[in-house]
Amino acid sequence: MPAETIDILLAATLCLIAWRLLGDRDHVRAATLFIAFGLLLAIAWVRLDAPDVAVAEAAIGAGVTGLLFLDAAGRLRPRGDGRRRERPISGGRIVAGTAAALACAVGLTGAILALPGVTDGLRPLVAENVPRSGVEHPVTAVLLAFRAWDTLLEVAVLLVGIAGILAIRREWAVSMRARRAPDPLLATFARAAAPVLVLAAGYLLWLGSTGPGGAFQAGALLGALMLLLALAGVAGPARVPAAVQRAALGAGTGVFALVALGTAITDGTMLALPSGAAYELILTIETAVAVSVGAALGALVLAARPRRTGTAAPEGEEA
Amino acid sequence: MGEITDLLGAALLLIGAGFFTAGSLGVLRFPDVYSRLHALTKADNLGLGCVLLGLAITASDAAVAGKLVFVWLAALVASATSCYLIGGTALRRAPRSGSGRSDAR
Repeated sequence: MPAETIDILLAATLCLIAWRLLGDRDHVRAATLFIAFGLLLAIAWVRLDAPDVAVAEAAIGAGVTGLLFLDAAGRLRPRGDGRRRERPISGGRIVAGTAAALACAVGLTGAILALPGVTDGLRPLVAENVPRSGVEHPVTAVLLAFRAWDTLLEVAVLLVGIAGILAIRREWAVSMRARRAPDPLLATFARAAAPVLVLAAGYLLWLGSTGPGGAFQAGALLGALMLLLALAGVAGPARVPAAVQRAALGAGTGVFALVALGTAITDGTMLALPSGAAYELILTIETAVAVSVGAALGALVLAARPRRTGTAAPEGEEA
Repeated sequence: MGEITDLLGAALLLIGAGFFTAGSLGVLRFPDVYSRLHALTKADNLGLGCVLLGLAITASDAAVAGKLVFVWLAALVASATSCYLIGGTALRRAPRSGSGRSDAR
């Protein structure tokens, strides 16, 4: 009974927060509520027995996306700044919107109720094949051994996304230069936290073979490290040259594609990892993917900063 | 012995939850940004400490307990730094914002 109560409370709170943040006029407050929403969603994933997804959701969904929203919110003019009188929403729109939302809710509920009951699903099949995959954790086995093709395409999509953003900005790499003089406490914190973050990322990467962890989670930590160094102003402009950034962004897709080509040549099937070297190959791929994900997440946030060469710092810039 | 540690762990979890509730209440009800920061960091850190201590003493082995202590230390450092940064930004924007100015959110 207590478990169901927690779940019901969690679901209700998620809906409530979503409702509040969509209707909020203050962008900064909405962005903060979004971060809270992401964290509660991570807890929901834990309740659904998916700790890997929970860590990724907390780091990327709440952390990086929330940071992007806060960054943007700090630059926007507040809503309803008086320059344009806002029209009240007509009754017809309210009715149409409510009807559409109700139709969606009914459809989704029907779809969920039509699902077969709690079955084992693919779990027995995965469990009996995990020993052949080279790792012990079923999620990592599925991601990198059984369905490695999907993961390769995901990493490629990330690369294409960040390449698109850089193309829009017409530059080859993001600048990690400080926007203003670094605050001494933040700089000290960044310097002290950097080795801890690297260690934690390596630990999560290593843990992925036996427990929740792996490339994306480690990559999220590395992205956070990059952002911390850039925002604290302790990464000098020459610290991460553009060539290194580009290499880091492409490393994941590159290594993964190399392994795919290699296995295609030697085995005939792409990404059919040889059972002798499966663990080593998976570890290599995961390391490269972690570096790529970290570089991409860092570049994603840093590329959103407007190009300013002056010394005036934006008013609402969060440190 | 196991029962005593379980009881102690549960008691610490409840105490921690109490501190968290008090801290959140403070964030909602205090008049200005500085007292809200005070409630947020002090009460929440203590609550986190109690919760993690309760979890650590009922943990399965010392490695898990060590990781929980590490989580607490990391949260302490991070929240202290961000509290300082938020306070500094608020001070730069509106120095001496005393009682009643609730727009310094």
